[in-house]
Amino acid sequence: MTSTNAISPHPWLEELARRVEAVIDVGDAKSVHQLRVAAGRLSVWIELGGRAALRDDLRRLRRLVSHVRDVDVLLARRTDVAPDVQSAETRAEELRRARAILATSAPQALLVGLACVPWPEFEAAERCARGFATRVVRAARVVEQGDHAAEAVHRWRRRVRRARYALEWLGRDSTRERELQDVLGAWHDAAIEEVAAEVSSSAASDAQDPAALDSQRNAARRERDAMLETALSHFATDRERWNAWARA
Amino acid sequence: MDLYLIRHAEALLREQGGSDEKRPLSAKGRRRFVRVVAGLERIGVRFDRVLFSPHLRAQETAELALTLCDGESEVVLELARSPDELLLTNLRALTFARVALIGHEPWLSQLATQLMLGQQVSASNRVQSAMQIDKGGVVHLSGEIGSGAMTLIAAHPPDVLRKIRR
Repeated sequence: MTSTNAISPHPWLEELARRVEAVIDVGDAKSVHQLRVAAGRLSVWIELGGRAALRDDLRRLRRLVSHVRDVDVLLARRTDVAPDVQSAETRAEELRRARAILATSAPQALLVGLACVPWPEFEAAERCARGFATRVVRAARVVEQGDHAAEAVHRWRRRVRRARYALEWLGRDSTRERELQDVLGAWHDAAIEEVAAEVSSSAASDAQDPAALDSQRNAARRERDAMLETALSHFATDRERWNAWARA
Repeated sequence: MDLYLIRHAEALLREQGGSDEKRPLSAKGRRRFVRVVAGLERIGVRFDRVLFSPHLRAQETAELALTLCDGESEVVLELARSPDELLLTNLRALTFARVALIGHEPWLSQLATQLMLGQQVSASNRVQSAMQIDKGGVVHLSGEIGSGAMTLIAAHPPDVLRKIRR
């Protein structure tokens, strides 16, 4: 289980435990984000070992704080879409809901389960990692063929993120994948802002100027489109690299 | 709720200095449980949720059972110890119609006894279980979650399930 050729889950296992505590105790934006990162990385580690159990639990853990994360993104962008008081209240409510679940035995069960999982052997993990690249190529193809719906781009973004994590578990350079993930992350942030502007616009209060909200939404949409174009261009440049990894 | 209590498949013996929690399934246990799953499929068993103990042998059994699951799986700490009120509370909170619990003996049969006969289980005064579940065996209960509130529908020995596969 702990052969020198196996991929250790440390220090991400400890990071996950730390971040669960931090979200319960502090609940700041960094803890929330890092909890999601740790869960995502460990989910890829599980898959590199050819295993399925615990992946649903890790996915639920990521989803548990996803709404808090969305509000944090809006606040970080200093958007006028939603007044800060309203965003803060939404965040507090979402955080309260997440903390209630984090305070149960579910995170401890997950940590105990992860500690029981045999570490993936490096060669087997490398073979398994091809699947991550294949899925990225397929998802990118859908977007390249003109499906720019949020669902299609989200799928591509998630697969790029998982492929990057797979590379990093294998100790390989992930600079280009991280760049692409950053661009798709910026696309995601703009998409969140656009949706928030649409919601706010349809239920604008007296304190909000509908024209300003429209302007905000249009700006977010332009940014989102620009980020998607950049991502497609980045992928086109690296196409052979992705294909080679998928075929390796 | 239809509740399926499934004991993990046969695992390797503990190595010297090794931990019980990290014992994987044996090749034979894995092979046999695949046939148990085929038998369950043959009699039309499906799950909406698969709950499993965090111990490796239960995780690996759950992975094999997931082919029968139309929903998600969930690791549950309370399945790795004697059944208590917290486990019953968590089960009552579930909104699924067909749930599999993958765990260990003697705790699963203690749970089955409590659910069927209403006998209390505590760490200091464990009841004599009304049944024993073999490795890879399945006990099907139906009814509301609660002490003495469930009815035994079937107790499937693993060797029978293996024989009725397609």
